[in-house]
Amino acid sequence: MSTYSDEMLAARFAALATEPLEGDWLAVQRRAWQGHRRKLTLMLAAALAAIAAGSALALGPRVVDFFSSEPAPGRIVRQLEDFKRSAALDWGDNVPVVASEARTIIDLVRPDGSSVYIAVAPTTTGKGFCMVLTASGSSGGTSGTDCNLPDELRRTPMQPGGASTGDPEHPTGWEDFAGYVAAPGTDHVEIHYEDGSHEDVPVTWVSDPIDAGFFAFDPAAEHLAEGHRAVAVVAVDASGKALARTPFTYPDERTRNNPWRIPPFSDLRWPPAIDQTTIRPLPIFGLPSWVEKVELGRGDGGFCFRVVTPPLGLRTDVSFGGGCITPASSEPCCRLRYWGPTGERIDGRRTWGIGFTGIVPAGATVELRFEDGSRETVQPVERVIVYLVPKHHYARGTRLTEVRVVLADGTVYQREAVSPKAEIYYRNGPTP
Amino acid sequence: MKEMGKLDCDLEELYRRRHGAFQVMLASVTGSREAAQDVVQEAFARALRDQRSFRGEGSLEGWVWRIAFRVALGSRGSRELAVGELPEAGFVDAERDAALAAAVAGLAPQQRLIVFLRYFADLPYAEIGEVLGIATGTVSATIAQAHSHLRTALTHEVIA
Repeated sequence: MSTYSDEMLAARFAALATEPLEGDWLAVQRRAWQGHRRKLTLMLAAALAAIAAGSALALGPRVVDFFSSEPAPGRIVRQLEDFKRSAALDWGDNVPVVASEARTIIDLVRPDGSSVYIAVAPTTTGKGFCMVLTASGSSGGTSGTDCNLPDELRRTPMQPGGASTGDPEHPTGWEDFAGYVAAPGTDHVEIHYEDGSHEDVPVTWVSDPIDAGFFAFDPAAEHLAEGHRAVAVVAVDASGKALARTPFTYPDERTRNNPWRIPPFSDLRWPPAIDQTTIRPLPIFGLPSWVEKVELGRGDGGFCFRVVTPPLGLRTDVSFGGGCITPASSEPCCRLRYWGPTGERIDGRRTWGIGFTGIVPAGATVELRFEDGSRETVQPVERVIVYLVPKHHYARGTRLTEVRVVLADGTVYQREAVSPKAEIYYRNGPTP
Repeated sequence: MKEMGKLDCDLEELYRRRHGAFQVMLASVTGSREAAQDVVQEAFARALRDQRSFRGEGSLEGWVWRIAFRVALGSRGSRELAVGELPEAGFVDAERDAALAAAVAGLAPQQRLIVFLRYFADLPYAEIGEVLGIATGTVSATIAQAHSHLRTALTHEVIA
């Protein structure tokens, strides 16, 4: 006679189990927040009552329930879906946007015709968010789509953008500010001006699964004039303590009109002084994978070099900057220019590293000194140096501490100390 | 402006790992997969929303099961998890396994519920005790009785 063991029973029950329907965590979060609506309403009512009673309240963020916010229009959903397809090169196959759940957060059209629109969508992981930001002003505008996961938000807790006047990469003024702030505890943001004044800008804080604030601001026309322009956006808590700060700089007129100025990032044009027929690649080896080539061009007794990155995702070839020696230059060398974060997404992440570019005097070499006592000598190519610190020098105790430009006769022409404590440069590397 | 809490993450992880088991089990209470799916969504949503009421005295999964049962029974108009509201044996499809369906139908209601929690929800004895608010020993004894009944019924089936 056969008997049934526990395992046999389990197997027999298991055979009956029907295939479950697919789960949807986002729908769970939505339900949870719909249940919160009443609580939020009560909180807002209490805040309004406190204001009516004359209580001293900080500016405070306006809290909105993401799932109760207005669904984004079809064109925005399509824009996010397009982003999902086109950004696959940057992110791999997992562009984490849930386009169908996009919500409009800010939609402003001002009497002067300028406008700011922000929509956010949750990510497939339920953490971080994707954002569409469109801003237009009298002289142009900007439109961008990107996803920010928690790691990115920790590194960049606030990101203002907007419509600017002048060169998009080197604006001469800002007509609109708009962006996100993810610094916990943010009460509002402040726009600081060159003349020392500042203005408070409220933040709309969007509930889970977004859990970030958004803002838009249209400075008065006088703040486009030199001496009164915005110099920083600062996120502050209720006590006024700064939590995050994004500075703005403006090129002066001399810089803007300099025929030897390397155009800004993403602009592949050469300075007007360079003879286009002289442009050629430099044979520099050991370049990081995100550098496609280094080019050199000559003209009028001077020369320039430029670092070009390969196509990455939405971008085609872009200039990562460079430098020039002008005929009028009294110095045989420009200072070494350090790289911080490269700012490019590779495999869905930003790649960070420390390195430098520069032009050194003829016959000079560059000597690198590291924490562990080791040294390395780099030979310039036609006076141009492009160097990225290798990863085995990312760990504490092995990091770069000094760069020396040494002339042919052994004289130290330039010496630059590099702080090994600058963790910002080593975010991709081991930090024991 | 809070950071996503650990409990949020734990609930999400539990959902992703176990929502299928919840659905299969709760279909026996609600009568359909679709209704069970709705109950599971609602149960996890309530858990997310009311997570402060989870004191960490038992397992998180046991706590969510209790919520899920309350939601499932609430959807049938009941407020409390009572023996009289236990899952129908009808969940074991008689067309697919007539002998097992008959054997399960012969179980006492509490035995049937515990058997379901054991085999469909795959819960250990201690968690079944937490969900039902009974001692682990009672779970163990009830399962032993149920086993005995099922073995007898199914052994007869094998002989036949």
